[in-house]
Amino acid sequence: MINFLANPLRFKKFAKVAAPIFGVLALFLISGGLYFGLYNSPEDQLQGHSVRIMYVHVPAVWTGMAAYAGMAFSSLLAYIWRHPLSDELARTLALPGAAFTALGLITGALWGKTSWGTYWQWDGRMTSTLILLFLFIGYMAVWASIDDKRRAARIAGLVAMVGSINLPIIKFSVDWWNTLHQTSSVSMPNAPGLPSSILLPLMLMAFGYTFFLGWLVLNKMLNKIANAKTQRKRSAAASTSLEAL
Amino acid sequence: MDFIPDFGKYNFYVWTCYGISIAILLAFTVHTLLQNSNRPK
Repeated sequence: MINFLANPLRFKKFAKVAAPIFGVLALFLISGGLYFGLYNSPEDQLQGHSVRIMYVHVPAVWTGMAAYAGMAFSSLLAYIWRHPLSDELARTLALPGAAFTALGLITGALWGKTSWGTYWQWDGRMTSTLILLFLFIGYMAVWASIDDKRRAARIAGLVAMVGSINLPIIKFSVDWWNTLHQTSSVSMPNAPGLPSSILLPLMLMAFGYTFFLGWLVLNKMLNKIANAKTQRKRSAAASTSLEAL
Repeated sequence: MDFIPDFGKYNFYVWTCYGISIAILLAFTVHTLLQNSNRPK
């Protein structure tokens, strides 16, 4: 699958089919999540209506982490096969990933204020998520500050791969250290610790955000491929006209 | 069912979170659709 999509033409064909499907799925899932999250889910016995913040907070952080994992994996593929599409994919994931992480931090701070009485605490989960945001910003800063794009890709890829050590730290921070943040409520090997009325909007939003990220990235990749093709045509036309002189 | 439900003492916090989330999703959507409309054929 990875080798299949490494070819820009095949990637373009795949993206042209997948992007609209991802877009429609994101629209339906997020609309459903917002409907259930705002209108059709119960108050929590302890947290009251503030539990509704979870439906936008948790999926935002999950999507930010997924974007970083994709960025690091794509950078690894670029290091192994040196394929420019992998670097471009990693680069494309950075801005939405940073936005989702920032969204998770902001909504988390607001939720924290209602639950714990404070917007911020320098505990393991919050600090490691803030570091994730800084890693995204650092990754984008490397691309923006180095003119030689090959060199920028090498260094930014290294930042992405080394920074991926932060992902398990975020996941297990609530188990390793004493923290204000609650432990995992949804854990894959075990049965979900949440009732279905709460799990439904949470999962709708989580899958909705993921498909939204997919839609976003595929469209931006299609735009980059189309722009690169136009630039190549212009350069070829310019060199032909120079030869004619 | 109210169009804009009242969440009592958590009203500000809940609506701020949903407002920022929807604004970010819309901003990315509009930006991407604008880029798509200018995409070279």
